[in-house]
Amino acid sequence: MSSSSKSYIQIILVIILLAGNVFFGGKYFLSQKEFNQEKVVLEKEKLNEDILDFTKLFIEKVLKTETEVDFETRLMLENAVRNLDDEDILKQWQEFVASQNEDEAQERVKDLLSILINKINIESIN
Amino acid sequence: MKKNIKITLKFVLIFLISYGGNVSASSTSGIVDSTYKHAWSENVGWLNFGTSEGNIVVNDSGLTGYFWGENIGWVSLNCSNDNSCSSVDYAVENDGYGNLSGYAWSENTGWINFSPDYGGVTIDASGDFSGYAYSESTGWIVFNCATTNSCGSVDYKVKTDWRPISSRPQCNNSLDDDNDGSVDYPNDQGCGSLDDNDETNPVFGGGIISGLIPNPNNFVEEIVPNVPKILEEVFEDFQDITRDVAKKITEGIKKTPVISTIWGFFNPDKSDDRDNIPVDKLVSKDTPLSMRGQWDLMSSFALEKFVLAPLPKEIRVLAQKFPEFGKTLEEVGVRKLTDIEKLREAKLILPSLAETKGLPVGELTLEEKRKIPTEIVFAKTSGHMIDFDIVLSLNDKNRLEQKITTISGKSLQLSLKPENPVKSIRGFVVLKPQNHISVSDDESGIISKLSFPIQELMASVVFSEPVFAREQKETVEIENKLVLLEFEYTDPDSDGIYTAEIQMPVVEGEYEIITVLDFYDEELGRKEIRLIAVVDPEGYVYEKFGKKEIRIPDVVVSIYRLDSNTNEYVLWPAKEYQQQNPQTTDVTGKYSFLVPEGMYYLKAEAKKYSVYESEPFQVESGRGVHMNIEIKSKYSWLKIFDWKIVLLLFVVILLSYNFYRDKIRENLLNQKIK
Repeated sequence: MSSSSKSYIQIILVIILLAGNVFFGGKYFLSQKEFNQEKVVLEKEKLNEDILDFTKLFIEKVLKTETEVDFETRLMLENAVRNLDDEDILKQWQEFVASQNEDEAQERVKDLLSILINKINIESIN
Repeated sequence: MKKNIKITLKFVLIFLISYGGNVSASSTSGIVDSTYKHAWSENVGWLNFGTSEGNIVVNDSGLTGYFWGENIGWVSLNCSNDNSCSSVDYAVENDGYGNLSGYAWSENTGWINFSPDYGGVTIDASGDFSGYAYSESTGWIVFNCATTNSCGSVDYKVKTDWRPISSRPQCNNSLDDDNDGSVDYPNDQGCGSLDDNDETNPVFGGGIISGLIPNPNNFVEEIVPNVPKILEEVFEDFQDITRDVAKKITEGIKKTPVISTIWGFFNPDKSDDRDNIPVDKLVSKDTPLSMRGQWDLMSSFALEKFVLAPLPKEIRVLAQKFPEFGKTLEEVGVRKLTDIEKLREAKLILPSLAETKGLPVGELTLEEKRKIPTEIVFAKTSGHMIDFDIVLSLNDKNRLEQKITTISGKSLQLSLKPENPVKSIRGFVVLKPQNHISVSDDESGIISKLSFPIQELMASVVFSEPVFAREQKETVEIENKLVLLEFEYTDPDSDGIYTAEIQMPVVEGEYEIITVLDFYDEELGRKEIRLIAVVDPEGYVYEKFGKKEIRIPDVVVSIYRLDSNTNEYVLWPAKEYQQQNPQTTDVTGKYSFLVPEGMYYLKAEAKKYSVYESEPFQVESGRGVHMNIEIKSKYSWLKIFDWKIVLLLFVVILLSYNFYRDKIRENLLNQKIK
């Protein structure tokens, strides 16, 4: 085999390898993009689930109870609300906890439930 | 030289260790772990030994502080908590080896024994509590799930960073292990740190060197073989120290404002401040007011306001005036606003109070005129002979609407009695968008979706309260609508009843008759009354041709009414009602009758067509008869013979004739052969 033939083969190989790199690079880029999109959706769904879990917990343990909410439950609620990592919900929760009279508490319960519902991302469900 | 280096390194090491300050006193005086802090009692539930307010401290002599139980409140572990030892001396004591004894005190449950018979609480070398305490009220208190082998289901225990004397280094065990009169680090010269496990005084004065040299008294014999090990350990320590120093330097740099800004830019702190605070520190021990179960968090007022809102005023007035109607509402469960949906499907007919029927307003007696309710528009037709059913229906805003149904092009006589003297009463007929036509007719003209028909004018005495007349706070919207007709009510006989006669539009659809009352009293201002008029299409006569309908002209349509006296059907006397009977259809084939209530049937006759007679049907008061009539030709069977059929028949006949001639020809040939 002549040296020129060898060099041709080498050039072709290099081109093939480069093309492969470009192809797989592109594939990787697209996959990464898709992965990021899915990740965002999953995060939203996770947040929705967390909000619903907290809402359920709040209704069951606070709204429906007729006795004092014990320390462990409050701790559980505090953990749940902080896990949401949402400033608005946390702020509303803290305002509710700090209510000083019944009217205030009722108003803040409504606000809290409202904000919880509003924070659920419908688009991600659809 | 090497010796100098080694000594130098050791001094540096000693210095850095001292600087590093890695000395912890927690093993002699400990607190309760933030995770493992619960004990369990079957009688009173979880007991929390790790509250920040309780501030429990475990040391060699005993426990101080309080633990908390949701059902028993605070429990004091030591009388020193509230300086009450002078009156009652109690404490949960520790023998230094983790064996607890003595009593805790709770105002709610009394004494809790930490070393009862068949029980007792101990702290092991890992700082884990185990065993049982006991009180009559709380029963057995379990300090570790391992005690009851229940960690598989619930993992709990009380744990401290205090350690028993037996598991602590000699320099931190509160004992004079080398009998030199000094105890532990830093009092004992043999101790390099609290972690030093040998109190024996060394040649070089103890400290870390004593840890490196097994027996300082035989330094020469023992140190030489241990040189590599010493160096190795020295360098290991040196590496640790270097790492610590580097860390401190980095932190120092980071604290510099400019550098910290740059550092923060390239290394954003993802953790939230609150993440650094244990969540149990954020939750107050005292239950917030909002969670004490004393308040009604969901405002019952707001819910009641929604769920128990009363029925609209119009319906309430109706129910008040008509006790039977009110009773019906009760029975079908229509008591509040949220029940109003039931009315949409209910067919409620008010009992009739009819005294006079089919009389023009002018012919009513004074007493009858007096009883006419004010500010309600009544509609009649056919020269006041036929009262329209005024149907009260609920619109999409749950408001009652007055509605009549008439036939296109018919005249309408409107009557109205104002509550107060009026300057004028004007009326407008406007087109109403047909979004919600709730009244629909079936073939017989009977309303299938009916709410409250007012039987007739006098039957409407019940509506003496002007619930349908609404104050006109704003300009009537007439200006924004297509006004088809404008008219004025008049009161020629000054009896207080205003009347007007209008012609309903020819085009079928839903129209609104808006009546505006302009009072003399300026305070009353103006009021408007709205009456919806549904104009139904006229009926028509047709013949079916395939799938199409052909209108038939010159058809004589008659309507017959059942005479209740003779029980026979007679031609309805239309002239009395300003109408014609029979009617002859024009090219549109249309006809219509507005008849009073009764039993009727229709008859349609035309040349070349069979006579059509409908089944008898019931007509309610003021309803139009406008069903579509299909008539059939007398010779309709001839229609099957179109040119194709005729051609086919012709071919068949020719073929048959041909066969016949063949047969004859064959017979003749046979005869000739014979």
